[in-house]
Amino acid sequence: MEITEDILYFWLGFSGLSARRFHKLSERYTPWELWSGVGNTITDKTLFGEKTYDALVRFRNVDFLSHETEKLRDGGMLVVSFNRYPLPLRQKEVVAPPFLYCRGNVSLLHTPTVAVVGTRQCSAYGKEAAYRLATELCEHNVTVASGLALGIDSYAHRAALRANGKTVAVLGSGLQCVTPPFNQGLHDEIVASGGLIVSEYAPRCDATRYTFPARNRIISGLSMGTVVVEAGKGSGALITADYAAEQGRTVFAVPGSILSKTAVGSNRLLYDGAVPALCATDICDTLGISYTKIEKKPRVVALDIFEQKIYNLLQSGVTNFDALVESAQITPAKLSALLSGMEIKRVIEKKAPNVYAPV
Amino acid sequence: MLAKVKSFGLAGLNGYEVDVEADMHAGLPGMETVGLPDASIKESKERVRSAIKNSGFLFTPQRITVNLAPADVKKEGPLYDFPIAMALLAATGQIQVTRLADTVLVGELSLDGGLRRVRGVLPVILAAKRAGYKNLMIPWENRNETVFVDGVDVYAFRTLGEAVAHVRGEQIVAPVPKADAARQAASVIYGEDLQYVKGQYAAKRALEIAAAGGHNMLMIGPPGGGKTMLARCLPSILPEMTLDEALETTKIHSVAGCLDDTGLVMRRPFRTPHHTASRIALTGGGSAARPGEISLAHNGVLFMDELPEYPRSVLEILRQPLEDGKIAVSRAQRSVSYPAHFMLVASMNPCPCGNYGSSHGECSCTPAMIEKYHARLSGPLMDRIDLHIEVDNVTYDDLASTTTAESSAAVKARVDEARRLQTERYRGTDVHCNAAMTSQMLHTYCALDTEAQAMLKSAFDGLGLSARAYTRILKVARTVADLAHSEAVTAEHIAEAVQYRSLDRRYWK
Repeated sequence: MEITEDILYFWLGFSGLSARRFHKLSERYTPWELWSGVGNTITDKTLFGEKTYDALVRFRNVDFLSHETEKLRDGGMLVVSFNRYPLPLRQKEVVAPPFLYCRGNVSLLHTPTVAVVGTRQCSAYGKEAAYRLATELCEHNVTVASGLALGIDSYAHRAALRANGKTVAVLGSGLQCVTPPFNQGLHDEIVASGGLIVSEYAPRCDATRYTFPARNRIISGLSMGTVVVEAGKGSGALITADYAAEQGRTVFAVPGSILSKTAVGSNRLLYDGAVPALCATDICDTLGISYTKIEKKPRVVALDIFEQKIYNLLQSGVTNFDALVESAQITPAKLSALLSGMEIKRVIEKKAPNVYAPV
Repeated sequence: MLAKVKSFGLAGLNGYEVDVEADMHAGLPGMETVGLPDASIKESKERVRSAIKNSGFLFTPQRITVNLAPADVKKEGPLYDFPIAMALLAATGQIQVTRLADTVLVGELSLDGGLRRVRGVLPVILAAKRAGYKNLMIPWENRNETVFVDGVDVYAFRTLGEAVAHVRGEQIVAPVPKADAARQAASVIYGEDLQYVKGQYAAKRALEIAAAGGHNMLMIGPPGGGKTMLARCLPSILPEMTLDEALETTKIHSVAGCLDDTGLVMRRPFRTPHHTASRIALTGGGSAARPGEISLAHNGVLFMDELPEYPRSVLEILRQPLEDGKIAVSRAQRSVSYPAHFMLVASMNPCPCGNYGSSHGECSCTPAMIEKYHARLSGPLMDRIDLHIEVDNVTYDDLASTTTAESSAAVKARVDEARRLQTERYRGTDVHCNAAMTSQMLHTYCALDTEAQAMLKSAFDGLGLSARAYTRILKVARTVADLAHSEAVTAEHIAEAVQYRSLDRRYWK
């Protein structure tokens, strides 16, 4: 078996070398030097940590290592080594690990990506904002990255899925221990949609209170910019914003009400100089992403006379079910059926209880 | 001397024969009651003694033993006062026991000799009829319950004295005349009427469908949207109860002791248990295994306001009765089964603060809170609710509008017609309405043509419905088709049914 650079990085990470030590070592040695040197010429255990040193010596076997990657591949997981990272992720401020466990479409790492993050306890406004920005970003052919947490993160992923866009989720746990377990379904949907799940932790590694803040550096690292949709005081999204600033990425924040508790952090970011995130086009222009906006083709839908009548009424501002019954002089039964039909044709949308609007 | 008269006891909704025996013998004066009497029967000796004395009859100071046979079943309630008194009078030779053959006696005595109302007279007369008895002697106040049961002559008395005079032949009382159920049914008046509900066309249409197909229904809306008022209108558009249904419901109400003076319950019951109600209050139980709210709502409507406020344990017990139409109450002493065939109508706010999606207020809940609020309702329970409808606040214009809406009577006519179609369709089976369709019937009666199938498929794909909704939509579509006198379920019916699954719509998830 031939030794490749991929295997070397896998060897380093698999032996438990921390990302921080890995970067320190990289300044002095190439991985090749480490491969031949550890145990022979390089014997300073403090460079690695005692356990890691022993593991490095023990695991220095190409067949064993390629067998391990083989096993991961059988479990549906891929290994992307440091040498395969996109350049921004290899930047030393990111402190990226020697390799990443991935599931899904790894080519997404090389697409223009914007992180959309925010608090778990979001408001309805935050939900709507996350949904809209993520959808628009997807329409600009930008990949949406987030952390698969509840709240804003979930909505960003969901929006990308609904817009048939691409999305990347960075986990704070191993790939086989999706946290929170509630989002296992979302995880599966992302993989099925051609998205990507990324983690620096071993597949069966549980999340701890330290792993979530740590993975935030990868979210911001693999993105060109980070949009903080809504963040309260001390929200994890602010940590992501800090990382992004450190890594030299642009930080965006969605302006929120000054009265809202859930927007204290994001508004403070704006005060500190973050760019207000108003729409995806602005974000792309600021980041210099050349987008080819996926043009929505004006769809031609055939409407019968009743549907046309309803559609005209909806456009003239009569949106309430009761009002429609009275203005159109149609029985509630017939109207319900018509509205369903039009919803299915995606001509109209149900906005709120008994309120409809043209798309 | 020994005397024996007949009475009846109650086990759930069924009566069983009880022999009341009285014997007099020498010894210290006193009265002993045997045959597993409860406290109220043990106390009856005091009432019986005073009643006999105060009615002007002789109560001899002798040793008296009263036995309630069968001896191994626990007897309860004060309904044995009257038979015990008559047995004593017979034992002392003051009346001829032979005059009481073929006669069942029930009634409570007061100290002055008056006969007081007891509960459960309707089940007793039905059981007595089945057991072949010809006569029934009951308190005057209970007579209305009996007027719809033929074949048994009912004699109602105000006092013990009247009863004795009747038995002695001194003053014969005529049996209580039988009544015509149809006449009473025609005079049923419901409090609320749909014509006074302004606007809310979607909700009213959903009520009509629910009534026509016997579907359970959930209303979602902000406080003050008129959910309760809508629910209260429901009995007024439900088809009339048949005599059998009315008798069965009356039986339950009679056993529970909550019957009013009209006798037969002709109006469909509308029960509204509060959300602090315990499990026992809903299912029935207690040491006496009394019927609970869901049985009292038999053949009617069980309205549960603010559904998520009910404790989970209370909601989960509804699952089995919703499926089987009955509830088995098992206690140490006995196990009884009460019918509980009701329509569940529930209401809830869309979120803890109540304003989510409302056109009037601002919602202050986080999406997580809303999700948690909705999670209080378990999937299996929601599976049993066919219609979800959204009720929004009524605007001032709606309230002030002078257009008169359709009256309940007009809606009821359509509902009756749809029910008639269903009765024909399900003749010979246990099923009476579309909501109770089995999967096999679903296959037969909800067969879809290609257009309808395409509509259903695109509804699932396009509107993000969950798989749960599938059979519900089919059943509701069947009812919509029945209301439109359509043999087949068409795409239009499916399209309408889809509108009533709002909770299945994954708007934002």
